[in-house]
Amino acid sequence: MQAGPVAATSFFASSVEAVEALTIVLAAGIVRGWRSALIGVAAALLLLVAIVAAFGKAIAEVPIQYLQVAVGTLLLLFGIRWLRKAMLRYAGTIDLRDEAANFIRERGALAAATGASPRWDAVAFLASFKAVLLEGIEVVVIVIGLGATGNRMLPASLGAVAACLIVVLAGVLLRSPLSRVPENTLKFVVGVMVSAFGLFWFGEGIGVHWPYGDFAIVGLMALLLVASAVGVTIARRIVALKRSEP
Amino acid sequence: MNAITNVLRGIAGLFFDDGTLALVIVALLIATGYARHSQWISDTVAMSILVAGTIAALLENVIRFAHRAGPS
Repeated sequence: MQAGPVAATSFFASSVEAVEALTIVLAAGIVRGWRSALIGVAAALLLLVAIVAAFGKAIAEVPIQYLQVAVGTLLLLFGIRWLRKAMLRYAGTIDLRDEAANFIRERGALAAATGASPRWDAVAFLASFKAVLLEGIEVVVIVIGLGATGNRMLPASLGAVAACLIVVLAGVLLRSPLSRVPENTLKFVVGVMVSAFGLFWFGEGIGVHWPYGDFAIVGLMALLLVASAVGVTIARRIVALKRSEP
Repeated sequence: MNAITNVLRGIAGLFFDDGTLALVIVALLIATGYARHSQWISDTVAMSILVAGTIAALLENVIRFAHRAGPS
């Protein structure tokens, strides 16, 4: 049962991260030159592969119960962070993320930076390296978190790889940031999904026997979804009341 | 050095966007895990505390932030 939800969660979460990384790499490549920007991407990808290899070996040595507790904690912290941010954006307390605006801001900052030579541009390298590394680590955390404890590494990895390939392909074809991706909706849904997996794994790790086994994850998702929707409604009302105050 | 610090800060930020919420969640997990391990609470109680506690912590944080921040 879990292969589908694991692949879907991994796909949606990774697509959000890939869109964010693509925005910065595009800005760095267009403004400062593609050579250094792409070397930054390659260096970050190499480091990510090394991280995955190191963690992959280490994870195999960890007893499943401890792994479930550790991975459950990380996934829950990760998912709740996304869910909270998406709820606050829906409520209007923080601005919605705008990839087009981010692209213009990044492009401006990169253009203002000095120190480029025709062959090597450290600013483009570092901007691309940092963006791909940080967003990539998020993808790695999601893939390892979703895949390691349930022996579902393959669907989790396939979901992430498919998402990254689709986003990169779209970026290459469009040559502009993917501003039409409903990022907040994705973050909201993924936040719910990842948090549900986190709660489930942590519970399993401490010896909780969830009713209906793996299907409890769907129930947890439904509970979190309803609670988050209620939270957004309440937060919206608070914001509306504040707006109407003189 | 700044670049490394920024990257490390970014990695920490993956999990701790809002420090209070992260602390409450971690405290909830530790307390529930310890109580279940020591068999002070049953399966059902541990499950309920985990789910209800996480939802309560999230809603409290979002509502508090909405009160504090107001419209953007």
